[in-house]
Amino acid sequence: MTWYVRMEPAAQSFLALVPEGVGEHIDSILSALLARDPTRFRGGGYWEAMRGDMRGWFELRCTGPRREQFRLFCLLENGTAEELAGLGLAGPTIAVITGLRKPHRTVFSSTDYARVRREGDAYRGQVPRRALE
Amino acid sequence: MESPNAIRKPMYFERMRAEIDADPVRRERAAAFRRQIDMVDDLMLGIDDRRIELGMSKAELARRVDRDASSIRRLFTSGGNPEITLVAALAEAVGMRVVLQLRD
Repeated sequence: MTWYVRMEPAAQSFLALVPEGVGEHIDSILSALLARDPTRFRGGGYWEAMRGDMRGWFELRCTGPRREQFRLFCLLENGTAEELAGLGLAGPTIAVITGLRKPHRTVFSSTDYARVRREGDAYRGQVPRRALE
Repeated sequence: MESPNAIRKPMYFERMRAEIDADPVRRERAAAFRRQIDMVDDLMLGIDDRRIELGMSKAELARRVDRDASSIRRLFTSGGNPEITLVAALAEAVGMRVVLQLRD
């Protein structure tokens, strides 16, 4: 099965500002997910299904300089070929919705997560999903 | 007929990949990360595949390594970064061992 990655505008803006090394790490994780199937990936805390209010989301996790934490919040788009075509998707897709960063040993607030979910709701509201540049 | 909105190319991701590939330092850094990621994924999938082969439930595996069943279930379904001692215990529980070897 061929998976695709699409980066929503908020995720693109986030990635444009990550420090040196973090982009390569994120690229490596996404490449591994595409090669290995994100629904089956077990690799070392880099990709985790979220729980609680964020159930249904996946978190791509990596560590940058001074152990700063970088997170990309993703939704998996999967279904029958007809369902995916109806959404304008070429196939099963990792939709990277947005990203957040935080210092080591700190947590995101419930407001941060609520904002991520709002971005996700806006994304899911697009039928078909908007074409990206 | 192809939908006019069909996303045939994940443009931003491809551009990001191309930029990294064009720079030898960044390319090697990304390749090294990828080797690490693949190694950990192979390790955890290898243990999980062996567990399935043995017909062992995740709850039974958890019992054998003296861990909470929900934490082991979560480790194999949602991902996670287990301690090396837990990895060794999980491997032992399914009759395997972790071996280091020089890469090519």
